[in-house]
Amino acid sequence: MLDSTRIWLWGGRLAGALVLGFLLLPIFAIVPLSFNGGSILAYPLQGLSLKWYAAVTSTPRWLHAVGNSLIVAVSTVAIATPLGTLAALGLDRIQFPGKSLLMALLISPMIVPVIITAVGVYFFFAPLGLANSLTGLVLAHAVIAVPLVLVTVNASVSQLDRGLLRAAESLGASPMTTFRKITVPLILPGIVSGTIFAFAASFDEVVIALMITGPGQKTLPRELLSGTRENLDPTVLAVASILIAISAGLLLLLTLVQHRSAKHHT
Amino acid sequence: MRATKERFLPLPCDEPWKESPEMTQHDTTRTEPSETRPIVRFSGVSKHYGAFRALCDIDLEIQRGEFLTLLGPSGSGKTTSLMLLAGFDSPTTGTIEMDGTRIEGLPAHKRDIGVVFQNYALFPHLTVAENLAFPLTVRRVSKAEIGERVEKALSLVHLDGMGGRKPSQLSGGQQQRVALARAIIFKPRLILLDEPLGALDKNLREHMQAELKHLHRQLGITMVFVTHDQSEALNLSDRVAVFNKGRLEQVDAPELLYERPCTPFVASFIGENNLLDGRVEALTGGLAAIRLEAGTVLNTKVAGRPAVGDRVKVGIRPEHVTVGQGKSAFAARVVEISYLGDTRRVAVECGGIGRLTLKIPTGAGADRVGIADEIRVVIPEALCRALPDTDGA
Ligand SMILES: Nc1ncnc2c1ncn2[C@@H]1O[C@H](COP(=O)(O)OP(=O)(O)O)[C@@H](O)[C@H]1O
Ligand SMILES: [Mg+2]
Repeated sequence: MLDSTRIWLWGGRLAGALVLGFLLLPIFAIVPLSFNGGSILAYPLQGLSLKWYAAVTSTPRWLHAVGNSLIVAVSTVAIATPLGTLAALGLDRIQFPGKSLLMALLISPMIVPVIITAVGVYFFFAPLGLANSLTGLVLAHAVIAVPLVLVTVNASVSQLDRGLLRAAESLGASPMTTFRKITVPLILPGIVSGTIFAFAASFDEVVIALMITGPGQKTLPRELLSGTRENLDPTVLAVASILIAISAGLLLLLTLVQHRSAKHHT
Repeated sequence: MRATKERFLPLPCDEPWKESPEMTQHDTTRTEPSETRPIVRFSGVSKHYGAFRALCDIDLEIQRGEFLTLLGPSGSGKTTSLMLLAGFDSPTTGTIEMDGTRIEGLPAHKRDIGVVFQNYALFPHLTVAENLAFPLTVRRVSKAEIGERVEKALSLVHLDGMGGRKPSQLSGGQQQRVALARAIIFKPRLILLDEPLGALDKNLREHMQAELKHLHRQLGITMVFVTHDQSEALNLSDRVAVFNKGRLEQVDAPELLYERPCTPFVASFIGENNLLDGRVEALTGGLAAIRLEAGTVLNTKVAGRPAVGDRVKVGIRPEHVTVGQGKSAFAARVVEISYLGDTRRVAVECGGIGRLTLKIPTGAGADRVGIADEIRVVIPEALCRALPDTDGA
């Protein structure tokens, strides 16, 4: 009896490790190659070097792409976070028939294939002169980022204890003060998580970027894609490694935020 | 409907509320105008949720400085009353006055009423000191004064030095005290407490009851306390308002509620009672001759103003029925005995009366009865009380 549970336990762990390896190996294969001393994209490494990273920082088109990506991601967050948060708060506050339908509608960009959104956005934006512009890209990214904020903030808001808001009111706080001093701090972890998701979604996004941006507005993922197609050198791998590091950093931040909010609630 | 209500109108409070000699802790300037006017008055207050009547035509006065308890079974409308008073909801009909001003439309944050919630409702992201400072900060009290008052409030509830902790680092009893201190610190006009001790274990609950009583005496502030526990209500209160199914049955001092209940519900909800069905046969002076359904006529005191022919329930407490001889004793047969340590509860089938429960103190000699024993019991008519049978009406 005990033995069979052990076998299952270890069998499960082994299976888990295999799946994890399968998921992570491609990533780990790339990172060491970006430190390769030679210029061939294959193992074994021909000595270690940071020259490909140096190449990234000294190539104008990469720097330009990084700048574009940052501008777009930050602007997307600036639009999506307030909108998603307000939508979550509003949906939580009122009850009406069609509420779940509206919720489904609001998060539909998360479910609709990105390519559909991209094509739709392109045909909608082109006549408005928003194609081939960063503004257009930001607006399109906001469409896919709002649901991410909405869903995460909604989760926080639904955990919020109504009694606390009543307590604040009974203590003399106006609805606005209650919102600022009680509601916002308590749902802040949700807002921050949503913001991180929104930032990451925009920063990694390539499909809409391909559709909307012209040569003048290339973002990092887009530049990366053309880099792999045109001249495949280890610079691309250095850029990829930087992207991986940023994603990992955001993930770490997310875990930290969620850990801190968990401490409040126990 | 109206007529029945008039007849069994709750008696006014016989006992004036205690006036605290130590008003120093509290803002006395507020209480100067009209010392004797009730601080809160509910007039004909009803609250309907759709077709459901959570509160029906409540008339209630809360006296300045008193400890009033709203007592009733779960779902009887206690919390609803409190929420109407706190301003989280408004009555369907009727008016609520505070200090002579109608407040039905006044938002909660402008009412200046401290509320202690059942689950404490402490802000989890703030420290204990910040929780206490919250009502002062929103009132723009100066930093220095806030610090001072927080220290004072902490020591008032015996939590000195705990200001830096988060609520999650405190025990249930300590959180309870923080909630209490937070409701008191801004010197509200009155304090509402909704079953604040419900979540505590028995020992701690009794301890907190004593502290609450002490605090009330010390601060002289009006407190409205909600509980479904009758012993808690009797122990703490100057007056108790008994709720049943959204109606106010009786408002009185604990002794009066116990000794002179006005309705069968109050008679059986506060302590134990035998309730015997009967009809008014004659009225003489303050007494009534009641013919029980089982045949016997008892001359009892009456509650309210029943008319001849009205259905009533005669209440007699188990501890008042005794085993004994004499002319007025009734023959009875023991059908059930439960041993409770200090007393035995004995159920008897009594000829001409019906089923009765007695409480016999252990070691009183008369307690050596056995099942199926034929005994005689004495029913002191002076301690019987005929109550209007509201169910049969
Ligand atoms: N918001 C509401 N909607 C519908 N019914 C309610 C609402 N609030 C309370 N009630 C009902 O009103 C009755 C009285 O509730 P409450 O005042 O909370 O009782 P108590 O505090 O005495 O236990 C209950 O039957 C409850 O179900
Ligand atoms: Mg309640």
